[in-house]
Amino acid sequence: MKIITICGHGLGSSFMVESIIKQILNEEKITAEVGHVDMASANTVDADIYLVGKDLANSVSVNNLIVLNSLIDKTEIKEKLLAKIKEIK
Amino acid sequence: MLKELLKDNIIFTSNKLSWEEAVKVSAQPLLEKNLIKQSYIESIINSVKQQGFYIVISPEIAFPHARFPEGVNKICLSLLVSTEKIQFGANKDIKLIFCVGFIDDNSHMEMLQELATFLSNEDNIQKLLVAKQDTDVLSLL
Repeated sequence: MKIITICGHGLGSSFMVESIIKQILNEEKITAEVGHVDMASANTVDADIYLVGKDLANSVSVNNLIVLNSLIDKTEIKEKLLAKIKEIK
Repeated sequence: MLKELLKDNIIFTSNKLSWEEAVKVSAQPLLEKNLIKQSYIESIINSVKQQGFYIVISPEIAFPHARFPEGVNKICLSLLVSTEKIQFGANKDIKLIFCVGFIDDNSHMEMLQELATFLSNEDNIQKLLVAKQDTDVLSLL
């Protein structure tokens, strides 16, 4: 499974989400590849699940996109991510 | 690392600011220390105007940054704590602004990892929101 986080430049916010996802996966003992990308390249990167903040959600068109209200709320990220993982399995 | 970077770069305001003013005020200590150039602040503001409010990371927190290496001399971080809510587009409750300067693709990873871990603890955010002086912030780190 591959999870990609998306933000404006692909170097700040998306990396913060990525590091929180890694903590969650670790705690849940789920193995997955996690990466981050800027929004212009989102379409060119293949992944099973994508995550983006709500302010950029309209600029991204990919399948299995999770839209986050907060990029640092571990509870929200965990809830939405685990639900999506279950859904696509 | 967060503590070192934020030391002497924390500002408090009770003025009513627009998002552009808030970005400028948050970047001021970095500019004064020549860690960033004026052009970097402009490039953040222009990027937001073009791309939308990608710098908002939670209902209370904005994280102004732009693509390196335009006007950043050294990896850096500042924090503006506002008692007044600041409106960033549809986000009306921003009170904490972390301005960051990146110099390349990788050197800021450690800082961001620390920041993500720190901010993903809601208690820390609540304490930052009521911080009155530097030590209130630095003691959390």
